Amino acid sequence: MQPTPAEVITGIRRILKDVVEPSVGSDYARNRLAEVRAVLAQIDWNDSLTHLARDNSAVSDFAGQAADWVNAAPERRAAFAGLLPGLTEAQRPAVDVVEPFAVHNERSEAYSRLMVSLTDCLAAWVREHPADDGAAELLDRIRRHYARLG
Amino acid sequence: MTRMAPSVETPVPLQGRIADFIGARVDGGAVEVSGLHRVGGGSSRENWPFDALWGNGGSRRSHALLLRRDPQDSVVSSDRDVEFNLLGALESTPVPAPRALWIDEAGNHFDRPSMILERCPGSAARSVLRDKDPLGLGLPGQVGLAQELCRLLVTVHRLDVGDAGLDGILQPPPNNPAEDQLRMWLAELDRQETAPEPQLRMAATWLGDNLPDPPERLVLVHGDFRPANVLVHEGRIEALLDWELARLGDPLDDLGWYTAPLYRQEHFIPGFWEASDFLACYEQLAGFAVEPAALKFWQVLATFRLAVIALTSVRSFREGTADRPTAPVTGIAAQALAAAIS
Repeated sequence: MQPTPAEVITGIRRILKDVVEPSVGSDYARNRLAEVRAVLAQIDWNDSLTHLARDNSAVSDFAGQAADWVNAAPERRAAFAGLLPGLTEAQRPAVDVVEPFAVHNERSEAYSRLMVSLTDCLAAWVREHPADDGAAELLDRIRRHYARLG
Repeated sequence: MTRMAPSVETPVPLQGRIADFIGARVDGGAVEVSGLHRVGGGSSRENWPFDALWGNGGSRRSHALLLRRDPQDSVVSSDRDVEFNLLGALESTPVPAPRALWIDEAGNHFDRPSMILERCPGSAARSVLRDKDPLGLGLPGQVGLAQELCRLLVTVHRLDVGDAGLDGILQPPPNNPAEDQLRMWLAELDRQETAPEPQLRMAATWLGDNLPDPPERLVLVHGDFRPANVLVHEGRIEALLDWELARLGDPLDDLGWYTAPLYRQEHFIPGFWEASDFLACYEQLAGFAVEPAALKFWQVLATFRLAVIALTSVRSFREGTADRPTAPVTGIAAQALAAAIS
């Protein structure tokens, strides 16, 4: 079996620690080297694409839920009119995970922008309509999703 | 945009410039500089400890000094002269801080704004309160240091801003300090964001919806109060370092930074010195009760601020203008949002 990206990085980190670090004379350079090793350890080298695709799929679901909520009342349709095209566009079938990373990443950026706008509008809506439990719950679900990422 | 190479300056030319700089400011023969090297991982300043020898005859002696210089691409911007004047004002107060000797405000001598400080004895260690105990204090010593940190913060906050002359150095915030700080860090997010940061934007919305009332009294806020920024000598605090983010503001600003969930492992000692112990000690010594909702705002803002600073580092790293590697900020940004909705 081929070594995974994570296995390669683990090997590189070991060489940096066991071979390179003892030969580095400057405190400053040793600190930078320690940071390099730490950053290499923080990245999910094997599954970044899978996570990105999964996150995009989750946002697609939120877009659908938000569109349903908006379309359920004329007042909401008026207040969220500017967002509806984006919400509709984002409700596409689950994307194919074999698409290149750049495609998923570009989609993620567009979705992030959409979700920022949506949650801003929802927060304003909740302030003005404190009895609208549906809006508060949708806002809470989206925030909790993003708070779990990372 | 113009790219600058990361700072990889060697000590030799800098050593000569330091000798010339000091020589123009002291009496007593040629200045000899030795032992110059760059230390630490400071994101906002370069730190270069060295020894300098000057004086005539029997008065010739060695001085332990530190050059602090702005990096080429700082993650925080601050006025060097403000920090220099603040350190001067603190000399006559009970707050232990390094003595600032000279400033190169415009960077005429050292390429970038810099100042030279007296180097205090001791060590600063980010993990000083953790199990690894890098300063060898032992558990009782660590608990004692943790309590001393709380007393030190109260000492900073109890300074009379007018008597100490701080209001002539630091600008009082024009509005509610919470609102001003949020506005400032949002503007920084606007500058640094290269792609939408949904967690930070959502956290910012929460912060805007949960602004606390202004404090009864403006205090000196250190702005980066934590174990990593105290110099410990023989088990006691020798000096509080890194004043570049100091400002006049709300005491809960420092409290939120210190007690933010993100820092729990570094700032407290499980089972022996918890956040609740720190807050009880602070309230007793400071003489006022900390309002939980206001503290939560400042804790969330602290994490938000840290994420924005990290974003700045990521940008500098990607553009090749910094020599510190940085991972994406998603983790810290998520923690800022999680702290808000918890």
